[in-house]
Amino acid sequence: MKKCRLLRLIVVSLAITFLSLAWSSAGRCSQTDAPIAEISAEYIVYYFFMGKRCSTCLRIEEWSAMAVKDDLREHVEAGRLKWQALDIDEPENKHFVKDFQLYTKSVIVTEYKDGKLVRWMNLPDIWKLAHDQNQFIDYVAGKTRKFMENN
Amino acid sequence: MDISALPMISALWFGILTSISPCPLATNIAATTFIGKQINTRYGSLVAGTAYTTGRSAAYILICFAVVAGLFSIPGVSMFLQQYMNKLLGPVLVMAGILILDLIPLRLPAIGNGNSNFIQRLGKGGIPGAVFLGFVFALSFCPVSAALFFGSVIPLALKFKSSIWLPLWFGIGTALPVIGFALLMAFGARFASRFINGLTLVERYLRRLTAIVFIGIGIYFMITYLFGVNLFTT
Repeated sequence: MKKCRLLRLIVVSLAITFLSLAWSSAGRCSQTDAPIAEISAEYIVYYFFMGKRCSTCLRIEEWSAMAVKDDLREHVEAGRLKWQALDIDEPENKHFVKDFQLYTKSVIVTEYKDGKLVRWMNLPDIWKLAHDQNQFIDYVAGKTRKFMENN
Repeated sequence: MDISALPMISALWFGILTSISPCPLATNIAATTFIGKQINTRYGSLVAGTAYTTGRSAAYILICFAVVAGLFSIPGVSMFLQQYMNKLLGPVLVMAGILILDLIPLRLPAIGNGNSNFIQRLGKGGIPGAVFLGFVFALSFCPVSAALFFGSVIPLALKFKSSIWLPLWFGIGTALPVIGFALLMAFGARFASRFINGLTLVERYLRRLTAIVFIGIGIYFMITYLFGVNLFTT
C-alpha cells in the first residue's frame, strides 16, 4: 500500500514536470546566435556548439574568442581574421559536421580564398587545456597564427 | 602488437581527466551510490566497482573496435551517442530507481534455465547491474568525454593498432575516481553499521538513497536532454 502510494507520487510528479515543461517550451523559439558569416575574411576561427551548453564548453568559447580578439587583434582589425560561434543544431549549419569531421564541440581554424574553403585545422587540445586559461589562449592564438603564416 | 606504456598511461590519464570534469558528474554520483551501497559482503563494493569498470571498458572497446574496423565514422557515432544516449538515460535511471526501491515487483516468465528476472537483478544491484550501468554510462557521452575519447584515444588506437588495450585503460581511468569514492562510502557505511542497528538497516537506507539519487538524476536528464531546459551548467 505504502509502495503503491510512493509509486503513484513519482508518476504524478513526473507527469506534472513534463506537462509544465512542455507548456513552457512550446512558446519558446529556438535561440540562434549570429547567422552564417558572409565569407569576407580570409581566415575564420569557428567555435561549433550543439545541445546542452556545459560550463567547460562555455569557458572554451569565451577563451577562444579572447585568443582571437585580443591576441590576434591586429589581424581582426585588418579584416583578415574573424571569430564566429555557430550552433550546429541549426539546419543551415549541419553541413559543418561533415565538412570539418566534427565529433564534439570544436574550435576550427579555416582559410577561405574567393569565398571558398581551402584549408582547415581542428584544435583538439582545447579540452586538455580547458583548466588553464593562459595555456589555452597561447595554444589557440599560437596555432591560429602559425596556420595563417603557413599559407 | 607492440605497444609501449606511454600511450596506455595517456589513455588512463584521459579517462581520469574525463571522470573528474564536471560534465559526467551526475552519472558519476549515481554510479558512486550504486557501487557504494553493495555492503552486504566484505568485498561487495570492490566487486561491483570492478564490474562497473568492465562495463565501461567493454563499451569503449566496442566503439573503438567498430571505428577502427571502419564500421562507423567518428563524427557519426559520436554525434549519435551524444544526441540520443543522454535522452535515453533519463527514463532508464528513473526505471532503475523504481526497481531498486522494489516499487514494481516484476514477475517475468522464465526464459531458458530459469534465468529470467534479469531486469530485476539489474535493479537490485550486484555484478550484472554494475556491468550494465557501466556500459550505459560509458555510452552517454558528454562533450568532454567525446572530445577525449574520439579526439585522443581513438587516434592513438589507430596509430598503435590497439583497439582493445587503449580503450580498456581509458575505461579504467573513467571508473577509478568513482570506485575510489564508492569504496570510501562503503567503508563509512560498514563503519557506521557498528554503531547503529546492524548492516541490514544501513543497507536499507543506502538502497533508498541510491534509488532517490537515480530517480532525481533521471528526472534531471529528462528535463535537460528531452526538454532542452538548462537547469545547471555542469
